[in-house]
Amino acid sequence: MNFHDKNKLIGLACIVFVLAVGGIFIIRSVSDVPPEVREIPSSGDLAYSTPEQLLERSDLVVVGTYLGDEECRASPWMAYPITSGTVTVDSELKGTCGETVTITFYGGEIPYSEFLAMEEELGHEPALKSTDRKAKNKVIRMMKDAFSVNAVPGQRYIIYLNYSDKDDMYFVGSNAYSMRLLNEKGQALNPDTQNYETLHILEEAKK
Amino acid sequence: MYEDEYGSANFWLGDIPSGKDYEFELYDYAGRLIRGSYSTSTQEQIYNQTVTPDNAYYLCVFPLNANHYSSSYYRVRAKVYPVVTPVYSCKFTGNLSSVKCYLSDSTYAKQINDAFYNWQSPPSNVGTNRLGSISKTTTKSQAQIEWQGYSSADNFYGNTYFYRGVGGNTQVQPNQSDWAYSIIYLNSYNIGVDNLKARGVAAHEIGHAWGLDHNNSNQYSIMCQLSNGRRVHSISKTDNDAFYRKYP
Repeated sequence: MNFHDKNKLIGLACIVFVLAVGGIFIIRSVSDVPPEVREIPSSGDLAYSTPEQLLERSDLVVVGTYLGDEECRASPWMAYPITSGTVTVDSELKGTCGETVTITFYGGEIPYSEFLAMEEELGHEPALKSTDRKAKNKVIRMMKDAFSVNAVPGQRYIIYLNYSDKDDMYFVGSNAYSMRLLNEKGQALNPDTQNYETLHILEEAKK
Repeated sequence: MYEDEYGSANFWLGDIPSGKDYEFELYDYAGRLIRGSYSTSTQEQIYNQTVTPDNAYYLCVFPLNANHYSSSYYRVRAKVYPVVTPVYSCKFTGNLSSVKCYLSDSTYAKQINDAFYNWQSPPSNVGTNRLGSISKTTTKSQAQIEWQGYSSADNFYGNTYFYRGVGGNTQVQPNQSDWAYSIIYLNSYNIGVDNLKARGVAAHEIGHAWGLDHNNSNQYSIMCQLSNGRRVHSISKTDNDAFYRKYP
């Protein structure tokens, strides 16, 4: 191999190296592009939030452990994301459901296309410009705050559920007020104060 | 004293003539004693007495006994600290002198109309604001507030969502960005056919669309959630004051 051949070989190796690194970089950049997230904040007029109101109005009240999220989709009434997951039931405080119950709550994220499709299905005249429909890498997410459901796998909760005939689901009606985290003492988290408090219904259940 | 706001009041009796012992008591509209102050100093005070709107209160000042009568003046002061309605950090950027709304769902059209009228022309004891005409439009692109309906056992009466662009483009957080458009959802599952409730919920959600936040510690504010025991179906002085603070 003469001097020129050696240089050619080194040049070729450099080109291959640059192409390989560039390719990896391009592949990484495409696959790692995070989706554009649109968080949905809202302000509402809540009907019930106290444990007494919720006990009276709910169809099913259970104490149980959340196993994890199973499905996130657009709700059939407002197009916003809802998530379903299973709870293993320790005790039924009102109503009956068996050893497990599938619960659904506001939360999670859905592709933009699904949000738009449901809005159209509901006849809501999608409140978004047509150019937005082309956005593929975009998701809709419910914003989380102290009043959102915070369903963590493995954690125990007292859960107040409304049964919807129409949608055949048990819904966590008043967000965090209806799914209260329990501590080791069996006290429930109050979303307003962020303190744990003793609930009469849980004390009664212990007896 | 006639009270038209909900809040904490402070009643003060001072400049009591030297050497005299005056007492004072607070009574409600029916003449029932609420609280009294009976110290021997030259000043008396009743702190943090909760007062409610549309109520009359009577202050009764009297000497300890006949030996403490005096023809000299004394002073009485009553000051109310209303539980004010909070507002979001950002605001509605639409033209307040001509607001247009679009009804995608007209189930509660009359109650929505009444609620708008309540905001536009509040009673004299509530005050005035700079809202001009509020009208319906059948052209969505001309609207600033859109009304939609839904039915769900989600324990909400209504919800308001905020958008930067007219026509509902780009959803925003009202504490982070101004908005030009709101979509208000009314939940017929919970409202049902209760006209008064529907009007109150509509007025509450319109309050959000202007930029008012919840006022859950004041049951006489339209911005108190019904779950916290809201007692009114129309706006109160504290709500109009909040609007005025935001849009002077």
